[in-house]
Amino acid sequence: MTTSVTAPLLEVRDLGVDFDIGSGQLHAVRGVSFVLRARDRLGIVGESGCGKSTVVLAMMGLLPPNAEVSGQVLFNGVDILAGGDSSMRPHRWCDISMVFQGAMNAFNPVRTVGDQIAEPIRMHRKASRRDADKRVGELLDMVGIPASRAVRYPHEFSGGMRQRAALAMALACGPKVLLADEPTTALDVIVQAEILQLLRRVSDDLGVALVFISHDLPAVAQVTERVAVMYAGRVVEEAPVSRLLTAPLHPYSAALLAAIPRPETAAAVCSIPGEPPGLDTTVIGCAFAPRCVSVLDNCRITEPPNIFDGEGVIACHLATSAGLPR
Amino acid sequence: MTPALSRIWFALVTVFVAATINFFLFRVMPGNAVSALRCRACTPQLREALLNRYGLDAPLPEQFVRYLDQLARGDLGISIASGRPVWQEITGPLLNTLPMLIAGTLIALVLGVISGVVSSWRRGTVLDSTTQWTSLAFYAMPTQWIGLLVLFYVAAAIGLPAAGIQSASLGVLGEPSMWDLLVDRTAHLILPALTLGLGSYGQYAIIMRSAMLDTLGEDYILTARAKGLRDWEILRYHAFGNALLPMVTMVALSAGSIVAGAIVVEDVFSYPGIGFAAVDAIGKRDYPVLQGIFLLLTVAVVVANLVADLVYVRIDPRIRSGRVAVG
Amino acid sequence: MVASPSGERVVSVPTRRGTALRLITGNRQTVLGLCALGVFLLIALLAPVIAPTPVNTGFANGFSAPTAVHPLGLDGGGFDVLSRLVHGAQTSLLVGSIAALVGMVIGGTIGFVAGYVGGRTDGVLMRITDYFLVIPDIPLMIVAAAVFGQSLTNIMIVIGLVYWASTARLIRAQVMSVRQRTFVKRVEAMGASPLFVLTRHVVPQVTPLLVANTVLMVANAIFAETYISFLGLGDPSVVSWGRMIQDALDQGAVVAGAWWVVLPPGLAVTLVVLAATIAGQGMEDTLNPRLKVGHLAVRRFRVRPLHGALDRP
Repeated sequence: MTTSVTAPLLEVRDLGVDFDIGSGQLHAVRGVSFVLRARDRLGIVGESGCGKSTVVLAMMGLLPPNAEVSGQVLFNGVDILAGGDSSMRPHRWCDISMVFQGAMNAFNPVRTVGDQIAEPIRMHRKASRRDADKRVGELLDMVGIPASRAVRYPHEFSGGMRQRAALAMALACGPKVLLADEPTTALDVIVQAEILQLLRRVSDDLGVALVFISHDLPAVAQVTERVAVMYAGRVVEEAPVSRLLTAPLHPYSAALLAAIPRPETAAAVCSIPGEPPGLDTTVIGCAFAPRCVSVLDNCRITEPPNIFDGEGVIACHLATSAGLPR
Repeated sequence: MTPALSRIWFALVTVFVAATINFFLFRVMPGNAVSALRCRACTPQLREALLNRYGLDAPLPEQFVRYLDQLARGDLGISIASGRPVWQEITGPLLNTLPMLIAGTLIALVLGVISGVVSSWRRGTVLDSTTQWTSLAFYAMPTQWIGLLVLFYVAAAIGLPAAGIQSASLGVLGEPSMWDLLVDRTAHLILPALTLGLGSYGQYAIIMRSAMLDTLGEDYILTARAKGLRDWEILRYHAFGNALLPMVTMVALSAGSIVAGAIVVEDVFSYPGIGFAAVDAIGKRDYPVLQGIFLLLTVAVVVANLVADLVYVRIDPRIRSGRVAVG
Repeated sequence: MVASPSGERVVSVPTRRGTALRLITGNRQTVLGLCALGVFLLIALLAPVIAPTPVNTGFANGFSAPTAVHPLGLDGGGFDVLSRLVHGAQTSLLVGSIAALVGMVIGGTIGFVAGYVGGRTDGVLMRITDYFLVIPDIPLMIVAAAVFGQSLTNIMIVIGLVYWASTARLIRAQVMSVRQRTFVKRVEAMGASPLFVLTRHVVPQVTPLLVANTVLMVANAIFAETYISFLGLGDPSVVSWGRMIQDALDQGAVVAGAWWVVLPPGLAVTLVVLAATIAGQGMEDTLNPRLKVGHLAVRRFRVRPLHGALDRP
């Protein structure tokens, strides 16, 4: 909605990731692009295997050695992927940080939580132990954990508390971009709600741009302003949350919405028949075509281009907007 | 019974089992036990006196009780060869062996840890294969053969003493100083310890590599990398500590094989320690000494296991309930 | 193919037919190790034929460097080293195999009974096993060998009697895990006789593991034999590799610079033990495959982060 004139903070251009598994290649990400400005909150949704986690790991250069990454990731206009690990490293944590999927295990079991939160502060900011500990206390406070718990070990924290601690750790160096990969999965509903609220608050108070990845569309909708829907390694639609929830353009987005169980109505749960294409297959045409209820002949032949319609992006032959491709 | 107490009880029972095995072995020997004493010139009366001395004429259960009673009082019997109490025979050698054993174990640990870290850090590379095959090769080599090779190729080249524990030239020109003695002893200990270390490091390398690989696959390592830590920093502050935990257990489990290695090493290098005394006792069929050494070695291994158990409980924060910060 | 929740390494052997073949050929390491062992076995069996000279004939008074007639020269006693080496192969392999078999029988039986019967029997048997696991093995063998005398048979039995403990633990774990499996319980609930369950289900799942473990034990047994003969407790009437190493030491081969006496026996032991170890480990790997780097599941990766993923031009 905002036609902002501020320069993008983070720009992902045509990111592609292939994994070499000896017997072939897995095409996990097939050309993803989006733009993040300061204080933006972007959600990325899609089912398991659509490549959303791979995208954020690629953005931080954390993929395993058999991954081949193409495309660009521009931070403040500079491509941070271009120089390899050594050029990426200075940006880690202080510019871009991450809360991982399953943050329960993000902590080293034999070191105290406070120690691990302090670690990047002492490393990147060259802070003294006292200053770092003070900051740890502030961070824990911000996420709602008593500062006295900093000397405890991870196994002494509950799952929800560990998630908050992981968030505190991610904010330790004052990053400008926070990537949250499934931060609420494996937590019970009440704790989930607390975490979502926390994410929103933190983003507002600290002015951190947020990328929220999840398969849970309602959760994403609560926190973000824009949502990108991914399918089979591509972004099929990107739109403001309100529009996506009320008038999705892409058939897959519509199907995702329809698949959300609504206990308040008596409507049956509709799932999407079929399966996404295997990661090792080369897709011809639109990847969603086999499962699409509104499929056209062209869909099986030509891959839909990205069409920018002023508010968001849509990659579908059905889009009647005659806007220029991005 | 608390866990600590039950482990101590287990240790005691194990030593008891070893002692019982000793007892029955001695009594079960083919031929009369006394005939094994090579008592050719014995008159019947002397034979009977000897039988009496060793209590071999009493019924078995009574002998057993007497035996345990003696053990409890620290009496390991009399050496057949020298006539002196076994305990006296083995104390000196024991003190000689200890420094060499500790040095050898440390060398094995250092080599094993380095090998394990290198091969896991550079997994899948030529360095990994080379390191693994090397440690496997040393693991397969009989330690006595390694000793021979060391004698053959290394000893002369480096100029380190290759036999005994003390130079013959020491003390010729007067009372040697403490320092001279220390240096001399240490020089004599290097080659045997090196041999022991080389022969034993293989198992540590395997465990260390496996522990490191397990650790490196954990999510917190990914987190550490995301935080911007360099490779060596990740190794040092996160991977290493976790991987060392299984090593503690491994040291205890390997105590038996280290002890076996020490025996042959002392034979090869004529190092007058407890292994050498054992070899000597074998040659002379000095059973009381041999069994005394076996019992002593069992106690040593049992203690090592116990210590490792207790140490492990203390250093893994997930197990203990203390609050001491680590790292 | 699933690890048991108790953490012990238990395996699921999927089919009965073809398992034996898979065990032997399924892994490059296994094939390599078994082939090497086969070569040594062949050498041992053909020893009298391929030894260039009779073993017990002395040819000179002392060391003699390798020549065409004596490819590995003569040792300090004037005996042909190569002949002694191949005859030693017979001893070492024989002792190794039989001792491993003894250990397998004892360990397998105890482990099996403990796992199958469970309860107090299991508790008692495992206690005993634990004692034998802690008591240092080689020293015990030394004492026993010293007592029982120096015949080959005794040595084999002694080694087997000391080494059974780890096999017992392994087999017990496997037996217990098999019995807990749902399909076995189902079969039992359907009224199958214990014998049926035993032969059709338990045995096929346990046997491959037992075989793999026995191969590893052969390595240990040969190692142990080398130690025992080196210390002078072996059979004095036969040649063994351990004995040859002892002779090398006693005859002053080191001082004399007689590398042809020092190198061969130790090398032979190393190679055989290596072969048996990698064969046994390869078999265990076939039965219990661990995650390998290549098969990363994209959905939930175990990331191996210590290579710069993008450090490529």
